[in-house]
Amino acid sequence: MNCRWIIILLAFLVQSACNTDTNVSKGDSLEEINIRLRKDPGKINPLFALTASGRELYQYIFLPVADFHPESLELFPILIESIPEAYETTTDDGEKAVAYDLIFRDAAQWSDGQALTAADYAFTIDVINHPLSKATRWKPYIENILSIKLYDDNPKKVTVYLNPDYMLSQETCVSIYPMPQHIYDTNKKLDIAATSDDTLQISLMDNINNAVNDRVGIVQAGPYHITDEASDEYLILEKRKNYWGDKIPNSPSLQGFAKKMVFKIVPDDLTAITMAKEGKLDFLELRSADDFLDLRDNHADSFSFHTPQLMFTYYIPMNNKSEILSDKIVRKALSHLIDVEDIIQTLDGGLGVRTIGPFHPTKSYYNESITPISYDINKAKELLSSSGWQDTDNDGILDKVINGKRTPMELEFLITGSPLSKNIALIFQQNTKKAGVKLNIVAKKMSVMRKENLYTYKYDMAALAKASDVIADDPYSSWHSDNAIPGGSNTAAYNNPEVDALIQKIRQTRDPEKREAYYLEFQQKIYEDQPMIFLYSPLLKFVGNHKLNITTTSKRPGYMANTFTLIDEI
Amino acid sequence: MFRYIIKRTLIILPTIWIISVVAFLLSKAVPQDPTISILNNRGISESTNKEYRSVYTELKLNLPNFYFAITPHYYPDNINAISDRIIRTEVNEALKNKYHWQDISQIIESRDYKIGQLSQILRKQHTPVGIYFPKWIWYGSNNQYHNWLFSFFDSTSLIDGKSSLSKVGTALQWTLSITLVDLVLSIFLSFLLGYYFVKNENSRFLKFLNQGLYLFYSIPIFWLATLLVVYLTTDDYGSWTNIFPSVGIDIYPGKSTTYHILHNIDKLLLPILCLTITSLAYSTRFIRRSLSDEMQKPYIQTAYAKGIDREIIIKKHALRNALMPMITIIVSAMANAFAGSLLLEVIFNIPGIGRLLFNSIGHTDWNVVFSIVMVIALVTTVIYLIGDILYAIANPKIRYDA
Repeated sequence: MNCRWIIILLAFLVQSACNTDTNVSKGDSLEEINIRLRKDPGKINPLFALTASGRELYQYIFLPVADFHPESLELFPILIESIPEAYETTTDDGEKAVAYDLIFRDAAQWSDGQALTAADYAFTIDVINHPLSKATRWKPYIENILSIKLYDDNPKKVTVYLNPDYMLSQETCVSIYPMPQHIYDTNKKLDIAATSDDTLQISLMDNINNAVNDRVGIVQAGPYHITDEASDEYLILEKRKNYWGDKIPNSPSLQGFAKKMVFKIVPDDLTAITMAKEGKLDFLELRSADDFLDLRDNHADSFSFHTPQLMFTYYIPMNNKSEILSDKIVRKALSHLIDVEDIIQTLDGGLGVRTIGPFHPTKSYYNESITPISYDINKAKELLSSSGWQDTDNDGILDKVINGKRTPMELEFLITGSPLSKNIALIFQQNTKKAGVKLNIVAKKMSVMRKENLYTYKYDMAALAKASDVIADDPYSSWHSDNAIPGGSNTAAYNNPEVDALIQKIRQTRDPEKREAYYLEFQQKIYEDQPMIFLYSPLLKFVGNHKLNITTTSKRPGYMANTFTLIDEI
Repeated sequence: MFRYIIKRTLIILPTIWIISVVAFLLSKAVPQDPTISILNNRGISESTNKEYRSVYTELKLNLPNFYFAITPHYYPDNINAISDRIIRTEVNEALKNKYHWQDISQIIESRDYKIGQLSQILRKQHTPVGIYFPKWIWYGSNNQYHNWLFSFFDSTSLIDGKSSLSKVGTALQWTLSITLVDLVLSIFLSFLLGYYFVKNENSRFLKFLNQGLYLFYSIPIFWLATLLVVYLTTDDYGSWTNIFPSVGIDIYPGKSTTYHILHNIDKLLLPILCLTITSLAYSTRFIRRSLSDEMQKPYIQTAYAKGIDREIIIKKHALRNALMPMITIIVSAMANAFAGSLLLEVIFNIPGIGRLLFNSIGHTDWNVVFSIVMVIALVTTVIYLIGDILYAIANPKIRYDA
């Protein structure tokens, strides 16, 4: 065997692999921005799949009638001229209703040049309502839409009649993402009253339902469209030429400064950081506070760093049905055993904001007058003792006779296995041990945990996270006793008739100022009962190319890449 | 031989079928609820019963699992037909406690029944079954497995609606572009090294090389990959270390996967290097031992006695006979090549089959998971058949009886 040829071949291969990278980051001019996605977004049609990962893309392609402004977090018009005011009226059937008049912008049009009209809005509502529709996410919202009225003399106007007692009537009627009727129902045959064996309706709805899988070639109203994509690799969005929204000033959703946005799927954080250092990524989100702070400390001249507050909270629900945790005093004692400030500092590099209740700190009705529960082991011991918990057998674990049976204070703590939940559990375990509480940590996948434990209330405590949105909170699903049933969404099985009544008041009050008083009272009562231990709301950790002027927001996903500009251009 | 090949080929079909059944039944044993996963994929984290039932039926999970079932006599004919998640959970619990389905269904259908109360009512009004015996139920072709099997080629990903097979095909191209090159390279280099080890048994250099190979063999591949990425693709530690291109595939819009692979060859060299380094020690040792064993045999001694040069003895006599065990390694390595390397694909950001399989399992995208499993099963059985044929070619003494 002639080694010479082998060595020459190897040398050639190595030489060809030698770094010939030039700085190919197209972030030098805003021709192109390279953005990291953690995973493939899957379906990106918000009518059928309203996911966090999908939102990172669809916010540039699909437009709602109105949305929350990324800075002020108040509703601002997108497809309509202005945010409508409510007025009391009755429907044609004589039913009491609250109505909103939506006037679509004259300039608003679909990407194929057809005008976007009120008929498209009405068509979309019909699509959601259709018995064969897979837009299941929207059905509960539009149940409160009683009827819709179109106007022959003004194709841009629609009046939406809603249930007058529904708190989110305004948000509901403007959050819809219209679909182009001329594409999906050219002959206007869609009939929501049709039977399920109507072949025409089946064919129509199959076509519409399958729109959820569309990526390239979608006819929509947004400033960008997908021009190329490869599953699990990348998606390329390009700015539409002669876009109608360019003429509308001060509307973030209609802007588009970058000609091209390339979303690269990079699951691993280390790989993403390496790519960013080499100029292959211009914007990325990191999970680890350590990675983020390390970059901030050592590469401050290459990157810009942004930490908006995420609409997300970490909390520990306690099963209020369990014989140990049904006691409010025990729950309060456990709340004293976790040093939340220390956890934020130690585990998240100080990048978090402590929370005292179920609502996000950015909400206007967040009750800032409530003092967070302090970390105090002695106080916890006192409370447990006052509730009858003593270490009668001197094994270091408190016990008490419950229903005639000596019960040790032994609790199971479920975690998903993420590093953060594991670390929180370990810290909590150490602290509870000092107070005579034994904590057993069990790791399970989230979907398994839900099925086996949370839905069946066969658990004590769990480390969970909850996402919220800018829209006003409806506490019914998570806090009303109606949902403290197997399979229900009231995870803590919380049951307080006073709070149930408050929740009803909140749901029936449209006026935000009146509702705020109820929200504040609600938070106070939850705080007193401590059905959960509320931890904190983390800050997002974004790293961007230092040449870009990047604005971030609390509104998910935390940024709008279409608003990024080059610093030189300001 | 021809008859043997035909027989083995015919056995492939039932083998694949058994694998498909096992894979399908295992997916049913996974505690994740696929309906909940699909609802999550659609952005519905807290679904109503109506939403759940709608997706449950859409996924045809209300059908029986298989063509038949053998259940205790007090079980319902098809428990999957209960589309309400909460009721189905309660019913399962009641059946575990051996309450008869007739009693359970009476309670559920009664007006007084409220969710969460089934166990209480059963305890008060009925007694569990004492002795039970099995019953056989035949469902025919209207079952989940049958639907899946016969829509295999048309199946689409539950995540993004794309054809499962096309996703698998694309991912496989990326994986094979690394693993096959690694296979060829590591076999070639291990033959070379094995030959030199045997030829120069007492060489001090080769002893050091041997230890070096063991060192790389003992390093976990993901750690090695991380080190290579951190130290050799950036200039954080000096520009002289920035040898290899940075990770991440360059994008060529509108071009095929093959085009992408060919124009990203430089990006694939580091993962290939990583794979080769870690597998070289094992293959080299195997060949070395195989060759060494051959060199001890009497016919080699005869060759020496005849005055034939050592190099010629190794090349012309020993090497050929040492091929037999090597076929085993090559065949199993080829089969493994199709499975990909998840960790490597994540670290080097290569959209290969390992990453696709992991993501699909995580999202309960069973359509894609089954496609991957079936493709790998088929390829593996064919490769092992080829291995058997190669054995016969390498050693004419081997004959297969029909």
